[in-house]
Amino acid sequence: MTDQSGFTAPTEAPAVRAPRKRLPGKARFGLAIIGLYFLAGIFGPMLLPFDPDAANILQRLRPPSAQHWLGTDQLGRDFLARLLYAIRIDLPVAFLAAFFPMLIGTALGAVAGFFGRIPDIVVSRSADIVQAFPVYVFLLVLVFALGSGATSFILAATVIAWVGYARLVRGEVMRLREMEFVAAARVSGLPPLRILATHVLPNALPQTLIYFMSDIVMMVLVLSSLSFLGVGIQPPTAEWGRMIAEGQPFLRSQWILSVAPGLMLMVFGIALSLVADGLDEWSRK
Amino acid sequence: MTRILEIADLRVDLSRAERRVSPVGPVDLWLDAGECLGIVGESGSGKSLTLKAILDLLPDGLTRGTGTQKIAQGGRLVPTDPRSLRGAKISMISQEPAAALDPLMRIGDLIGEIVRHHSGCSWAEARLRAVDLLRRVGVPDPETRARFWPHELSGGLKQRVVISMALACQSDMLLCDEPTTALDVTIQAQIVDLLRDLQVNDGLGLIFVTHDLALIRQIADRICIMYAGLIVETGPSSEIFSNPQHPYTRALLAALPDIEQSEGRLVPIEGTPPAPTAFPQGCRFGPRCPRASDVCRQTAPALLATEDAQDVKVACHHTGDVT
Repeated sequence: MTDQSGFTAPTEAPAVRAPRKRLPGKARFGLAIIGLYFLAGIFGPMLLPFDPDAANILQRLRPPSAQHWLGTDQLGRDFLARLLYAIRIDLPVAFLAAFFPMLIGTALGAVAGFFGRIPDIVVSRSADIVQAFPVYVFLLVLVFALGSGATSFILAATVIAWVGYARLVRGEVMRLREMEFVAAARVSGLPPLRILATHVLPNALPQTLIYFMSDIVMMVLVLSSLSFLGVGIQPPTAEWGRMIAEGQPFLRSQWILSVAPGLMLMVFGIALSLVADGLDEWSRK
Repeated sequence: MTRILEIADLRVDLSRAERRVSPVGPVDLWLDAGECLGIVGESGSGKSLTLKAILDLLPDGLTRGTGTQKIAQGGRLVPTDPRSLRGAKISMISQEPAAALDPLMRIGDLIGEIVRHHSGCSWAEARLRAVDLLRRVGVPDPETRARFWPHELSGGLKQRVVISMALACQSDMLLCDEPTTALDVTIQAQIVDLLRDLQVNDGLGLIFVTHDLALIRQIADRICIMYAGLIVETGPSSEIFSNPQHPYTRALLAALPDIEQSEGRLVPIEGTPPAPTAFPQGCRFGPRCPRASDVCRQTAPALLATEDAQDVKVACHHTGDVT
């Protein structure tokens, strides 16, 4: 196409793609650590010749040795085996305890933010009610009522933690609802639910995923805290919070019994936070 | 010419006001098939709101007031709910093409989604049609570009994609809300050429909103001059530009630089347009009008046909007076 002045239109330029954005280093570092946890959780217990729950009272509280690399605990169980087995409990439970609230909270928040009016009032006031209780007290009551164990923990977490997602997604959706491209979709005659699903929600997803990452960290800590208090995962199942609690009386002689699970928690938390932070940066670029 | 849109008494009201405050209206509009209607006015004259009201896409806090809207259906003009017109009969392109494209969808999918919604065809076919549409709006190498993300396109290409999305609806009318303001002049000319081409060759009715008089002179067949939410003068483009009647139109044209006459200063219009909450009694242009008299300050002038040209309508008490 040429205009009157005879210049060739710049749109004739060949189709050149912009370079892809790379995930920041810290996010990749965090992902690598989480990958290590996965590997250790999957293969670690296979490679170790110990049953994590098999007590041997004669071997109790042994220091690290060639046979027991991290020594044994107060019941003579191999400590490294328990530490690695706990990955199989803590990670999936925390993941699910953050995943279900994300599903429910995102759905409710999206509807509230997109349609406003009555759906918004119902969702926002319900969120207020849940938030009116102190988190840990509410959680303790729920877990107590439902009976301890992984399932009831996930259930209780879902009842409480959807609120955070609902508020976040509601805000994002309200912002996106006013965007020009949503108006463009409306003008094209696309039905509202379709616009919500294909144009609004995908754009709210990065923020939700970032919150999800930090929520998993939160849930690992909450799970350990509840287990520490005795209402989370029940013994003899290996779980980091429970192990910290059990190691407490031996803090002077066998400090590793409490410190090692604490470190496992801490490093996992930092790794997830790095991923969340990196994703956040990446999505804003 | 077949009439495809007829709007009477269109108003835009503030939703939460103690008394009725209408930033726009009452306004009457109509459009024939294959015609380009230009709506011209200053910022805040209500030209964009008028356009949005046609599809009931007003921002929060504003509601569409009374007014009937009729649309051609099977050869007759039928009253229609504005929302049901979206995409089906009327589409719209906006000022900011960059914001009108969902950043998380490839442009081929963006167009394909609309094609699919309106025709119910398969994804594969929708994709082919999307490529065709891109080719039709002059996007070079459309097969490759259909797989591009919006951020990989230039402003001019983005606006072409937006236009192709509007075409994907197969509407009879296209509402253009300053579609070229965000583009530089050469690209602007290309987009105008493209719209003109669609209007002339495909019989697409255009309503073109802008404050750019030079641009509207090029593209519009008929013009509405808006001031403070009302149409003050309307008529064929050639008439308005050669023989403006309303003092506001004259002032607008006098404020336009003329390449033939390099001598002489441009004449600005003194003052600013009034806010919707403070529209003056009588003629809304009165306070800024050099010819305002007592009758102007008391009663609002009606939009009436002039004596010498029947298709020109002017809202002024002093129409026909010698300047």
